[in-house]
Amino acid sequence: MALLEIENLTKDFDAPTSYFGSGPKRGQPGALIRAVDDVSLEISAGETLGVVGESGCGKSTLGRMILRLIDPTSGVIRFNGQEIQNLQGRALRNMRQRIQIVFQDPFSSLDPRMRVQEILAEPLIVQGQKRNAAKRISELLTMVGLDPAFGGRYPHEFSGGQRQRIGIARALALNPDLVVLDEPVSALDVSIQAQVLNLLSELQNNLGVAFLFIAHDLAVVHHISDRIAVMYLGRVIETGAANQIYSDPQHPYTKALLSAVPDPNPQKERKRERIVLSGDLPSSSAPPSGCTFRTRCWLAEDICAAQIPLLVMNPNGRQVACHLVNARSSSD
Amino acid sequence: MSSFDEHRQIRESGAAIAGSVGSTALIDEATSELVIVRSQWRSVARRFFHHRVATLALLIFILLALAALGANFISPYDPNPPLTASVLSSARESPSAQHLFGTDKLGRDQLSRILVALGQSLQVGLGVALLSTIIGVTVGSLAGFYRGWIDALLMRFTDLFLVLPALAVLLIAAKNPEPSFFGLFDLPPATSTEGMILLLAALGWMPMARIVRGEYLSLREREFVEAARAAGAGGPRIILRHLLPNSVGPIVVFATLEVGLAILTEATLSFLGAGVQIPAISLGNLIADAEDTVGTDLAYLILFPGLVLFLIVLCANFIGDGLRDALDPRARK
Repeated sequence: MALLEIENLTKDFDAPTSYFGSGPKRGQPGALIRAVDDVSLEISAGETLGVVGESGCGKSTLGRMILRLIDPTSGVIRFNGQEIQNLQGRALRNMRQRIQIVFQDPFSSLDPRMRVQEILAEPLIVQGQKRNAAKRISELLTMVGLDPAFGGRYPHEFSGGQRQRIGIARALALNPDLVVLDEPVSALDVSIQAQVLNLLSELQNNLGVAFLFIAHDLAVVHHISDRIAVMYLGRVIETGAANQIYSDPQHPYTKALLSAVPDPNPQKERKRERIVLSGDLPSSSAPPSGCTFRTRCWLAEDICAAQIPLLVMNPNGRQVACHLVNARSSSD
Repeated sequence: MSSFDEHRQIRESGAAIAGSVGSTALIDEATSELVIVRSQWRSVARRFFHHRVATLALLIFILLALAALGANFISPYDPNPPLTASVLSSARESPSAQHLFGTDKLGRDQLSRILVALGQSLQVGLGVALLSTIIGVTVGSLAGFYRGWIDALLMRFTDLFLVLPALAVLLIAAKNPEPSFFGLFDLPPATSTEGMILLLAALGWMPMARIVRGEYLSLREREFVEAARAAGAGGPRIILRHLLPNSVGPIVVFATLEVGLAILTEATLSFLGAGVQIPAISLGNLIADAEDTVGTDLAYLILFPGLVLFLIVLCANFIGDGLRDALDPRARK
């Protein structure tokens, strides 16, 4: 059984409407922004699932729904076999011990008026694990490579990388089974990114925690993920093992994304073919009919405008939401 | 000596001197950039005292407060003596060594009276600031954190108070000698010090509620609040441990400005006769007593209470300015 199962998860946000009645009305098309659309995913214990996609594709909303920081509009979130999308009160609080989060911005994710030890103590206090908190805090600081003597300091006394380590320590304080990493390294310098990624891998090996790793940088995701899910405009358009996706992308959007990753070898880099997508990401309040990617896809055919492609396992053993890829593989 | 050695030496000597107290330096893992470490409140105090005018204002404010507290020691005269022939005979004396601020039309020592009035002003100013801060922070906290219908209800309630014509309410209240809360319990009359504090606070908490609400609305979207929620923290904990401490700056600044405003309003009311009543003394009724002395030899009777009022309100405002600069986290010096 998977640690986390998401089925048909959808989130609609109310679009900003004008106070005096111009603009879309409630219940009319355009009044809702569908941030996450019919997403189904699974994460096994101790595994890392990378979620990639450009800004605004709903990957952070997905992460926050799993944490129950945002309530889903519809769909099921199952954690250890238990449905958690409707939990309230004490049951919700107990569940929160098991799933934690690391945020993107190491500056706004730590309360500037709290000392590091207070920040790390908060989850312990809230969850009634006050006993031995001091010992646990120095344990956590050591675990993320910081001197336990730093506990009495304030966040502004640390660099971005150190702050992110504190954020990771806070997420691990309650020994969670799953940590949602919401672009944990994209605000850091490249040299620090590598350090933090190595720390995360090391922690995963030692603690057996599962990660949902959200990022827009494919190189970073490839480095750390076992499996990858690619999102476009709120939908998952391709999933698969990280190596498979990297070496043989199927969906045109995945191909375009990967073609944008620079190669460290200058000779290969010069010969690298790039797929440059035309146009912008369509508005998620008025998505195109059928396949949402068809407006930017160089392969689009009539069927793409007519039907929404489903994410299905095709005969090649790949999960891709593209009419053309799936038609081709079934005719092979 | 290389700059790295320098850093290390500073760090080591700093650690030796300051120990865990706070003023040490650490080497940034990425850039070896020297980050000076300070306790937050100490750096706020340091920035405040860099503000010369604010420091001077704080000093004068403290001196005035001490003078009001020690009124009996500074001036040996009874501020409200029985009007015997000997008292009346020393009426209208210009300032002298015996009566530093002179005597009034009835022979009472003006310095003694001003010190009593100063005490009254400070009581009202600090009392109103404290009370209206408590009301405003409570209303603003609930509205800003819970949002939704609670917010709508509390903010319309706030608007209701904002559109009250404050002066009219105060003047009418002053005419009611035995006010009560809808007959449920008695309230102090509006012309007593306590009554005036209650009234002015009831009419002055609204800006504070709006400020606190606005702060919370922006703070509650910050990731550290989400982190607290993800850990399972409930509303009271998030408000008291995260939102309130991060709103201290604007709250303190506005409370300080409220002190000056309340003192001024109280003086205005007493001047108009709707404040504390004779024989009680306030800067407002001292000025009212002497309003016909402008341009005469007795002008000192209006000059000194006016000067004290001016000084105390000015000091309160300058302290507020200094605090605003000192508490602004973006101002790093």
